[in-house]
Amino acid sequence: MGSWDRVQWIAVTGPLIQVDDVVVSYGTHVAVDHVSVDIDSAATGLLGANGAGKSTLMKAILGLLTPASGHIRILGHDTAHAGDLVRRRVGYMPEHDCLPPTMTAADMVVHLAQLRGLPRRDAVRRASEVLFTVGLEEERSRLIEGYSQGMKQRAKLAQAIVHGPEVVFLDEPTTGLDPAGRAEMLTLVRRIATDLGIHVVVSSHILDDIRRTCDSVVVLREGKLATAETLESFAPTSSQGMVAEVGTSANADKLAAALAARGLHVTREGEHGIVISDGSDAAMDVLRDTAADAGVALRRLVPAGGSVEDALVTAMSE
Amino acid sequence: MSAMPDRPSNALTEASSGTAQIHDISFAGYDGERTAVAKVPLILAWWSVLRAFGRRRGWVAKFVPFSLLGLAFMPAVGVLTVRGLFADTLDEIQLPVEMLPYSDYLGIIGTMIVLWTALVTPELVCPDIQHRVTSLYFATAVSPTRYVFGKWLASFGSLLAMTLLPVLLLWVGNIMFAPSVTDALRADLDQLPRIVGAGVIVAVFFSTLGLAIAAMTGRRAYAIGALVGLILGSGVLSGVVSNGGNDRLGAAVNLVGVPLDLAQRLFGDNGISVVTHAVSYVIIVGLSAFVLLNRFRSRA
Repeated sequence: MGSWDRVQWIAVTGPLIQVDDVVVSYGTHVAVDHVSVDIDSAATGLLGANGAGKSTLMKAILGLLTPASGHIRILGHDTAHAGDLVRRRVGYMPEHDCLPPTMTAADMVVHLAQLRGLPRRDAVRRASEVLFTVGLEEERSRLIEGYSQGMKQRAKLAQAIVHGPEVVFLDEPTTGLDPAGRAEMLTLVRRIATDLGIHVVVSSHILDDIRRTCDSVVVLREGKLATAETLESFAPTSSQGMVAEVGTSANADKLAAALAARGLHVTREGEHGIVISDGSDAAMDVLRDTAADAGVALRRLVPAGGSVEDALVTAMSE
Repeated sequence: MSAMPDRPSNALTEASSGTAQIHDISFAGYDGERTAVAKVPLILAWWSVLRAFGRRRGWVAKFVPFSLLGLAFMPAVGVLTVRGLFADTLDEIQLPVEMLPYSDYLGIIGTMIVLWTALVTPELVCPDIQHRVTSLYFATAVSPTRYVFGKWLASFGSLLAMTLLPVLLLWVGNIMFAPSVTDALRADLDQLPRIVGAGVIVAVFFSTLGLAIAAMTGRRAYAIGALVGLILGSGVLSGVVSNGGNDRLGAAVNLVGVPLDLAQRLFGDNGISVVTHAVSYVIIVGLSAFVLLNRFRSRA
C-alpha cells in the first residue's frame, strides 16, 4: 500500500488554491512565469489569450506538471507531495477529446468514479445521478463514439464531478460547441458552482464565458499574472461619471451647453456622446430635466469607464 | 429505508409514509468511504479485460478473443472427450493418464498464444493512446506506474487464462477419468506446480513483450504488424544464426521458443540450455518492462 493511504485527508481553512511564485517551463520556453495568486471564489476564471499559460497553470495546480520553482497548495495540500491525494479530491475536464469511444457514458463515468476511490455500488448510483444532472440520462447506454461534440463535453463534465469533488477544473469547457450548446454548458458550469457547491476553476480565452460563469478572474498574459480580481471590481460605477448618448451631433452640442449652464461639468465624447463627470442621482435628475426642457431625446445612459469586457481586454493585452 | 449517508441533510428530501418513499435523485456531494489507492491497478485491469473481450461491442470485437480462447481449450476438451466416451476401451488397453503430455500443451497452442499477443494485447493500450484517454486517467490517482501495472495485469491475466486454464482442465479431467481418482491424484500432484509455473512463465513473457510493442503506437494495426513482424523476424534470425553454427544464440533470439522451451523444461530435460534461455528471457522481459515504463513516464 502506498504512502497515499497513510495520508489523512484533513479539511483546512485558508485559500482553496495557493499558487506561490510558480514557474513552469517547457525546455527553454517559460509558460508560467513567477505567478503568485490565491483562488478562493465559488467560480474563478483563468482568462488569457491562446498561449498565455492557462492550461499549463491548471495542470501545474493539478500536479500533472512539475513547476521548476515555487509551490502550489490545493485544499491545504502540496501537490508536489500529495498529488494523488489531491487528484482524487478534485475533478478535471480536459480541453481535448479524451473519452474512450468504445465505452458507454455510464460505464466510463462509473470507471472514473471507481478510479477516484468510490466503491462500485456508490459509483454506479452517482454515475446515474450525475448523468441526469448534465442531461445525458437518455444517452447513457450509447457508445461514446456516437456522441455529438456537445454530448462528449457533457460526458467529460460528468466524469469530472461524479466523485463529489471539492473543486473542479474545467479547461475550455465550451470548445467545439455551437451557440446553443455553449449556452447550455455555461449554465451547467454556473449551476455546479452555485447549486452543487463545488468550487469551479474555468480556463477560457472567451471573455463572455468567464463573465457568465465566474465570480472572480485571474488574467494571464504571456505566462505572467496580469491581474486577479473579482469580476465586480471590474464593473464600472457611476462614481466614474456617466455617458449620455443622443441622436445627433447638434442635439449633443445643445444638451452639453444646457447642462453646463446648470452647473454640471461635461465634456464631449464622439459625435453623439456627452460625459458627465458627476454620476450622482442629483446630477442624473438635472440631466433628465435639462434634456426634457431642451427637447432632446436620450438614447443611452451608461457609466463612464467602459464595460467589464473593456477592462478585462485591457488587462489581457496591456 | 435509511437516508443515504453521503448527502448533505439539506439536499435530502426523502420522506416515508406507509410504503411509499420519495427519493431525491439530484446530484450531491460525496463523503462516503473511498477505496485504497492500491486497488487502482486492479480496477484498471478489470475494465481493460472487459474491453479486450469486446464488452458492449459487436460480435466482431468478441470473435477474436473468444475464438482464440476456445481454440486453446480444444486439445484439452478433445482428449477429455475421448477419455469420457471411450473410458472402458482405454482402460482395457491401459493408456497412460497423459494421452496429451502437459509438457507439450503450451507448444501445441503456441500459435494461439502468439495470435492472442498480436491481436488482443494492442486493444489494451492502443485506444487509450489514440484517443488520449491516458490524460484522463493521469488526472486521477492513476500514476503512470499504476497505469502500466494495471494494463500489465490485464494482459497477464487474460493470457494466463489461455496458458493455464486449459492445462488445468486437462489435469483435472485426467484425474477424474482415471480408474482410481485418488491414485491418479497422488501420481499427478507433482505436475500441478509445473503446470502453474509453465503458464506463468509464458504469460509473463508474452504479456510484457506484447504490451511494450503495442504501447509504441496508438494504431492497433501498426501494433499488430509490429508484433507479428517481430515474432516472425526473430524466428528467421534464429534460423540464420543456428545455421551459422551458433545454436545457443539462435535459440536465445527466438521470441516464441524462449518462453515455450523454458516452460517445457519445468516438466523435464528437453535438451535446452537453461542458462541461455533464462538469461534471454530475463533480458527480453526486463527490456520490455523498461520500454513500457519509459513510454508512460510523464503525466502531462
